[in-house]
Amino acid sequence: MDGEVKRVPGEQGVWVFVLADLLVFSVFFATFAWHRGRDLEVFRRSQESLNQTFGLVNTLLLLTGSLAVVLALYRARNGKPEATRTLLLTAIGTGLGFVLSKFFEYREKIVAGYTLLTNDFFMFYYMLTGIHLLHVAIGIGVLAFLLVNLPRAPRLFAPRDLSHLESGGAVWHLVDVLWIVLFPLLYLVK
Amino acid sequence: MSAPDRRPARRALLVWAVLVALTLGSWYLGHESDLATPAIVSGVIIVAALVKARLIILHFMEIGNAPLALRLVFEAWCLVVAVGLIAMLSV
Repeated sequence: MDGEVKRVPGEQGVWVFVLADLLVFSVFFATFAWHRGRDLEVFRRSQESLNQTFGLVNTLLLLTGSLAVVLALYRARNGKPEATRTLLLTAIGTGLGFVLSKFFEYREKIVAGYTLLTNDFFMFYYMLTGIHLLHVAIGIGVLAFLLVNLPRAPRLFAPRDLSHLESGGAVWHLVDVLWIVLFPLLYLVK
Repeated sequence: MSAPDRRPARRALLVWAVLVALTLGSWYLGHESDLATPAIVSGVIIVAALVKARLIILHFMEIGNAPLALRLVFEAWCLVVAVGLIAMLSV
């Protein structure tokens, strides 16, 4: 970062998508916060029934997945496609772990009788985490696409042109950024 | 071929360690309800979240090395979300 030439990583179009998605989610965050302010007791009581450990594990999984994608990019820049492949697989593993963890979390909530219709808090909880989960699935798809194309088209990962990997990485990190705000907002704020 | 530059990888590991530390700190704050008033605890948790988001954006998305205009859009997003959420959660 220090003293390097300033450049836009990846394809420019991916940043339009990333920024549009950040904007949409900031509207979601604000809507949640506004409704919370109007019905504070219900939101606080409902939040207490969430399992914060699921949220913590999910966050650690996504952070580690992001690290793996960054390291995959660095290895590709150093001309090490095998290491890139292993690191991309690691990131996909963390993403699948996130999906699995969400499955158990939703099951725990539904068994305990909390559904989309319980109250406004749970409506937001299922909607926001559900939309985010869709993002995780899309992110896994993007990483899988990169992984499948790695051996077929080695030039796609030529150290000189890594814009595919940079763009895919940006989408993956976006999923991480969104969760990093969503997790404290739903699970932790007082 | 020259030796691969390991410095970016070491920096990424350091950023990851900071992200994990902030996550564990926020999680602990979310558990302990009697440390401070709810507004203060919520404020600290939100600031930690947007600091984490900014670290990922600058270092992992490499926006820290992007042209200033693009970087400022992301910086503004972090700032507006942090200030907006703190204001809305403290009412």
